[in-house]
Amino acid sequence: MRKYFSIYRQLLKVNLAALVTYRANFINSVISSVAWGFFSLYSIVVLTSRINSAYGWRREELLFLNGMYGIVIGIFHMFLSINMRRFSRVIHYGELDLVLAKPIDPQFAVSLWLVDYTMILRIVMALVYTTWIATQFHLSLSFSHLILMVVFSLASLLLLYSLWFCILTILIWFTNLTNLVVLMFSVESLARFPREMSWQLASYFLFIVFPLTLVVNTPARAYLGRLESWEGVVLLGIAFGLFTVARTFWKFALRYYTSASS
Amino acid sequence: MRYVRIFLLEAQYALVYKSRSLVWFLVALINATLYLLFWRGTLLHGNEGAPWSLSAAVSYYLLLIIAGSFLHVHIEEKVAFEDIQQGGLSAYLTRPFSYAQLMFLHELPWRLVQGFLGMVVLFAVYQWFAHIPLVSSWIQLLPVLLVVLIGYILTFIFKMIIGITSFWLTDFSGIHNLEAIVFLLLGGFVMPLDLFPEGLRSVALAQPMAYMIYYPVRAMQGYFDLPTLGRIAVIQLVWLIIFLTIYKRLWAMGVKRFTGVGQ
Repeated sequence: MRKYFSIYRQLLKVNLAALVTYRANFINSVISSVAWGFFSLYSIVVLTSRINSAYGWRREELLFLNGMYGIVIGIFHMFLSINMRRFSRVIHYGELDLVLAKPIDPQFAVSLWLVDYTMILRIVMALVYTTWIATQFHLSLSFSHLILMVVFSLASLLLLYSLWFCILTILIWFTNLTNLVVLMFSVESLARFPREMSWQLASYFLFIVFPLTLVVNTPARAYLGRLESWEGVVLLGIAFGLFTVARTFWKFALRYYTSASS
Repeated sequence: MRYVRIFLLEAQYALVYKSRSLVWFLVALINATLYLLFWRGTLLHGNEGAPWSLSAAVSYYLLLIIAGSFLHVHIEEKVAFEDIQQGGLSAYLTRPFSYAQLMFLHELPWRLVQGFLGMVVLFAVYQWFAHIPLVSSWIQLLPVLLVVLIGYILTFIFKMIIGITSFWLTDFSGIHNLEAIVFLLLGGFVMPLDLFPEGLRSVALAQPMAYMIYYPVRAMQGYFDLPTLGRIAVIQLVWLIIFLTIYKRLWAMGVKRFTGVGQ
């Protein structure tokens, strides 16, 4: 374990160095990160500009939920989804051999190799926005709610990662489906809407998207004091369960990996 | 005839990778469905002063699925990453066709396949939900198709411009992300631009992305009369000329910077 912490510390340094090496690209990435943050927050402001409530959530609560989404997804994009993009390319171009040849766990190598520091701006934007919404509309806050919110946010990250990793592992068989990454970006945006929205879906669709309805909604509900006890337990259960599934599926899939040259 | 043959070859390629088309189509489907679900619950549970009806929302987002599949060109990633960054452009430069023409013929089959999937969804939903507003008059249909066609070409040239910025950028992902955001918000993918808050609305309705996606979708809804459709087509043509000029200038400058590496 210590070895992996040491490697990750080095990766953080290397990523920082790479970030400042290409200045034009750095500025470009900063602008796009801020723009995504702005879009993520402002699109819901626009969407709810002429309504008072949706699915039992007041407008300010919807905006708060969206702010929470910005924080959780910002962290996810900073440390994880950037690697998922790389993962799809690594498999598509037959470069997984290089990863497998390294004397470290391949799942670690494909999941945590890159860090997108420019996402810090997006996270800060979402944090400021969420705090402003919470203060402006006097949304309740207690210390226990805050702790629960942090715990469930971490569980949401684990769940999101496991879901992404499970889906992208399919690329080992269908190498040309690199656009699955874009699909996952679309699917994850379900988490920025109230959970009740998904209940309109037919039961088989709901079964598929149910884990995503817990992401962000659960920590936001914990903060707002609207959390039902089963929700937290289910989120933690699914997050750890799905992580185990993702790990097992990855190991199984590697047996079928054929490099580009073979 | 040569172009038809190239198109047919590219069509074969697009049909081989049907699953890839299906994933792109699902992206358009999911984006539109999420917003539609949001509006459905909001409008059914009574919101005083809600800006539109459920049938209008269903029609808009359904047509957006088709627009997202047919009009939302994805050529920029191939141009920037495969051709410029990875050097694939060398092979195209030696051919007796312009690069833009080849890319147009490369992209069109993908759009048709995905647009077809969108049409299937539209007709399926239309069977259950027959009262959605769509253009119904045959006199209007021709100008509507013209607006859609120009919208497609406009989107294509715009995405080509985004793609060839890779001549100057080491990594194209930053500008790609930025373009994606602007396109989503100002193309009308979140909600119709005329429902935007005052102030933003007039800006949103005037910028070119509106003429790529939003106006074609509204035209298909039968939202505009004939003179308005004519005016939209003229403005689209003006934007097309502007983008073509930018593209040609950038291409001429960029291709001089390109250094292909190969066997």
